[in-house]
Amino acid sequence: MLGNPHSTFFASNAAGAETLGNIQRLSEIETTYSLQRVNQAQEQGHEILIVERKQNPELVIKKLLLRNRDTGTYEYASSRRVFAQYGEIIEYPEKEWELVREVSGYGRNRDIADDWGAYIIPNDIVLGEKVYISDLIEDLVACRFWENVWYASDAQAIWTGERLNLDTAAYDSFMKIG
Amino acid sequence: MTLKIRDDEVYDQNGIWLKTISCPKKLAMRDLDEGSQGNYSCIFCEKTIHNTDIMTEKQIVELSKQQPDVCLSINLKNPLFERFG
Repeated sequence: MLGNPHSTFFASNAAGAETLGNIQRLSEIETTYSLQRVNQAQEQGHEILIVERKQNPELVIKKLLLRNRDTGTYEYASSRRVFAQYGEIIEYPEKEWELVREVSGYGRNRDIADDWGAYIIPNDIVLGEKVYISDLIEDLVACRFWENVWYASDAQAIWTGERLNLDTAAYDSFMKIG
Repeated sequence: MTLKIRDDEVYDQNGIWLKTISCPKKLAMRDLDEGSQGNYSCIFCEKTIHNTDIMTEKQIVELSKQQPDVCLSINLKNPLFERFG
């Protein structure tokens, strides 16, 4: 019996960003990483949500750097037994491939020094309103395929009056069932 | 030769319609149990949901023609499927 590839917790390849888009034409939430913009928005009467940026364990990339004992070729693999397209299983046995090192990384890299961002809430937002965040501060997984993981660059959320509840079910649209 | 997918409609490599992907229960992956052979099982319909991640284009086409009401799970990141429209 084949294992289910989607039960793998760690990914081995950061595949980039995936975007929902604002198909429903929802009101947009502005994101900023600038203290100046936060203060400006605050003076304009906007509510500000400061959000901590922290790593999501599901976006942690772990893989093996292997070296073929005969040819000397280096290769990455998520493990010594890898599921591939068409149900194929690729094996990297110890006797053929030596482990050079375990490699770790992260699936979302941003040029932002500080560990926070802020959402600027529109003054005309309505309690319970569904909104669109085009620049998501939080690190969420949008979708996976085999060893690859895509982070979510945007999101839909519901305004509770105090915070934005992210609708992670929106990312289900990357899978179709039926 | 990729299969084509537009909204919920799946077509073969020649553009011939294969099936509509539509779950009456509106299930998501988190609602499914792991079944046998890498597939999933549905707790509502007790049907097997065939995991196209581990199928070939030919297997998907043949299965869809033989069992028009077969349930499939399709990952839109699967290079077997090409989104259009």
